[in-house]
Amino acid sequence: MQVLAQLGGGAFTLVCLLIGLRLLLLSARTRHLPELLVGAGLFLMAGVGYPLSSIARQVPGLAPETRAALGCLGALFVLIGVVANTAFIWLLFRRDTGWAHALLAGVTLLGVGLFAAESVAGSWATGSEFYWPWIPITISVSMGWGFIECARYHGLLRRRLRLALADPVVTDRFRLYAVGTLLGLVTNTVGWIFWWRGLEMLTDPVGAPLLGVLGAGSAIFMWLAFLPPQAYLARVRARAAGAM
Amino acid sequence: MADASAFDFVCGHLEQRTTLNRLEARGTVRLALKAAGLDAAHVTPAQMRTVVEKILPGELRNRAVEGPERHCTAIAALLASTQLAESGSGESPEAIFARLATS
Repeated sequence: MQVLAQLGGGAFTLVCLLIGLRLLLLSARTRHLPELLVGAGLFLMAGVGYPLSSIARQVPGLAPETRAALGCLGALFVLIGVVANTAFIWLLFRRDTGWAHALLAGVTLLGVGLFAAESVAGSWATGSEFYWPWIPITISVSMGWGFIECARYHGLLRRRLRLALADPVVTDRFRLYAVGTLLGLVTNTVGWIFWWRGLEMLTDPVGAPLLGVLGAGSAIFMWLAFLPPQAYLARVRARAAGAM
Repeated sequence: MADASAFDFVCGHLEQRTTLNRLEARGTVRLALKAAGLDAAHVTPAQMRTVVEKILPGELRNRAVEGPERHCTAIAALLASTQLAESGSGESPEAIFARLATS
């Protein structure tokens, strides 16, 4: 079961690393902010931050100062990633909306506050005083917001598709991103519950297969959204043409 | 008319050409936009033209407006020949998502 969890979690990390890097390179070419934000979110949060913090907490035999440095760095990457992901959703859908400004500011302030509090407490080897017990709130808000907005927008684009006012591939991309984000949100929430119950998801008989399935599922949806094979795109177009 | 939005343009002409008052005309166009997955604040002139041609006639028929196709054809032709302001601020979400991966 642990192997399944490692495969699912590993697939998700690898896909986020690849897609994040690709989007960061794209932003270097286009000089546009959206690809920089979503790329940083995927690369830093899921691709680098979580694995680094897992290494800091779980790899045996590390010197305390190495463990603390890795834990601090991983947490910093997660913080930057979650703020970037939230800013991406804000920029994409709600850049003119008052409550959205407040939500983005709230996520940023809470994340920075938790990071500062953990740094003052000097407990980065585990990060268990302030940061890891509460940072999942910001991640859940960020992913939950992303899921709701993308699912809503997918619904709008499906209606436009019937009038040939939307691209079927782009419409499908909103669906894939919404589902991939939802699976990530569920993983984060379940992982948070395990944390509070003092259980290790990776080795738990229920947590391990759940992590494997959720991680692999999210990886597949993100891969199809951002690195789609031509055969998949052709299928999406054919299905849309058949429905017109 | 260059500063008018596509939404205001269509509502104004609908009010002039039919028995609908201002509130009814705007409400009818809003319903047509909603059915198309669009909204008054962000609809572009090209999108509005499609809505006027394909959805608005049905909405007008539901409100017992006479000759809906005739009105909509005329308004769509006016839309096509008038330079209107593009609504909304910045790139649309679909324009951004289109750029994020190969299509």
